[in-house]
Amino acid sequence: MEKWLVLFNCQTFGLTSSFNLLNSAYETEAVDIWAYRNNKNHFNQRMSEFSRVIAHPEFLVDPEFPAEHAPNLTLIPSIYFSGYHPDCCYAFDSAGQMTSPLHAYHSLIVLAAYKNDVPLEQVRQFFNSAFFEKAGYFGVWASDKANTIAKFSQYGLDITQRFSHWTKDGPFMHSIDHPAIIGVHDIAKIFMKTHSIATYETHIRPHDNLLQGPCFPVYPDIADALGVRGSYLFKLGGQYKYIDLDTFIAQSYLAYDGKDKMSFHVNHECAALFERVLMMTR
Amino acid sequence: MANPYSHSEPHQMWRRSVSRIEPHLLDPMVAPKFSVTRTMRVATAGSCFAQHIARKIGSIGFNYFVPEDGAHLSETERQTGQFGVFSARYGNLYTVAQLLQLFEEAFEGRTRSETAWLRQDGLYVDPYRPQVEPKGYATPQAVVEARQQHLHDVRRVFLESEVFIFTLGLTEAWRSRHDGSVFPIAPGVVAGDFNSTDHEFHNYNAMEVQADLTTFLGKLKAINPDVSVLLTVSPVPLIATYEKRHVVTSTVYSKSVLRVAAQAATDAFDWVDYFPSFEIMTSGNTAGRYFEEDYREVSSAGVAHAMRCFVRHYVDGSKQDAIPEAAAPLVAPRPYSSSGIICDEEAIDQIR
Repeated sequence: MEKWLVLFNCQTFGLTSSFNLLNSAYETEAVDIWAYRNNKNHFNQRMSEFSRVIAHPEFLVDPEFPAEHAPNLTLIPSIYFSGYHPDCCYAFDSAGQMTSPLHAYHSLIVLAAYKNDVPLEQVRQFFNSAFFEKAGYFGVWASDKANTIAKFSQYGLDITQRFSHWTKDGPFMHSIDHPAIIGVHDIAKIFMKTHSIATYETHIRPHDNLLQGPCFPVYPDIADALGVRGSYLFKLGGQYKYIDLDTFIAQSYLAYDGKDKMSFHVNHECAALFERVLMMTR
Repeated sequence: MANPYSHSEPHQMWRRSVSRIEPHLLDPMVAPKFSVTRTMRVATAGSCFAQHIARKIGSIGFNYFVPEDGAHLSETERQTGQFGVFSARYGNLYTVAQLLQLFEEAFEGRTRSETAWLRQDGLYVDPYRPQVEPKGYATPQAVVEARQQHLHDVRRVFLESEVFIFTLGLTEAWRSRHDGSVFPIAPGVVAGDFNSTDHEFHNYNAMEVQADLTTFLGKLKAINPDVSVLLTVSPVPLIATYEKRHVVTSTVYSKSVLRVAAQAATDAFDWVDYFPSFEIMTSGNTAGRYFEEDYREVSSAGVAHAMRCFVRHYVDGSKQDAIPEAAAPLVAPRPYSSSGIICDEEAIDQIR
């Protein structure tokens, strides 16, 4: 039986479980990036045990990753898509990545408002359709879709046809980089079909483990434009519990206290939007 | 080798315009015949679906024309009295026959054999709009007088509207055997008394609906030469069918008849257009997502989608192209480069 090593990020479980369900002829070992980093030598030395190593491109950034010794090394990017959550971002100051009430996920609006010294009680006023429109939130879907399809295409995976189907049963993202299992399973399937590996066709999908993490809401005005149900309920990580927008804003402000706000910046995918939102919240 | 589809537009091809796009991007409107400015007087009438359009029209900044607005009443009285639900308090005009008869009554003196229905509480209501006045009327004469005032406002709707939006709802109807007057609801349900001598069921067929619609449009244009008409077909299924068949079958029959009539009118008159809100709601691409859990009521997301398409195509001076498939990305596609973003270990632990 062929053995595959799957080195991935938070989507490791979903991807590997999907491979298992799609074709039971392969034995898979799932190793997320932290498990790898905490035991690098162990996994590096075991590369020859596997007939194929499937890895997230992030692993190539590590100079200690033995790319040349990884059998049939194939790269699969992860799904990053902010069409449902154009306000969501990662945030940093000069000391590094900052946490929020939703762990790593911040609101561009709240972050910008804090940086611009907007009083806490005035932040909520920015959460409306007119603001989103002017900020360009409604245009994110088209640009992110193009980017996502292009990114997978660069790695030989054509997701064009399946992308529109991901939206059939509601939002296919829990946040900007936590996809619902439907997308992850499809990526696994597309990968196997691209490599001429037969796949089973059933209705069973792995459980959606990313739902256990923090989930950003699809704001109601954004949801209206996307034909889905929206809310201002932010699901906390590690528990099935929500906080509302006012609580999210207040707890975000608390989290930013003492931070070097002049150095606030966001992940590069959100940089252009952040600049616009900064101007609009001055 | 040439074939007649060689130069088809993308919207003419299912794969390009339906299969491969996300449901919320479906936009079946192609070439609107006229524009609607935000100052033009827009009037509405029709079935319950038209109520959604009416509500949205005003909320998105159009000049929703409501001659019968009850401005002298309190907000509560206006709401319970159905002021503003449509441009005048005609209630639901489910069938084209009702619309034509209303016009003839307002402008040509058409009379009705039944003028008041007795309600269970001893008060009277207007048989042709039995639910718009919850308080009821003390006497049949009061019903008649109220209707005369209402017809004054109905005349204003037809005379002064610049865009008249009508949603065709039903083909099944209950009507008077004596003069063919169509009731919006079967006698005896909320008021009145059904008897087979005075009342009959009728399921309008395609020829009848088409004839009524053509007649109405001709009469409307004669008294209001500048009016444009926008027709839609309600996607809301029948709550009940009187035909001895399944309600799903009856629904498809009714909607098909109405759709044919709407298309015939659109083809016949250059000032009449058809807006495909029915197609947006019911397309396989949107796969039922725009219906509530009863598979019948239309959701707000569905109405929002329809109105997005409406604004995109009809609003003068603010035409937006359909969301382009290959819009210039905010961030250009690039080879993978580490953003340094990975879920930290604690976060991964949550989802292991």
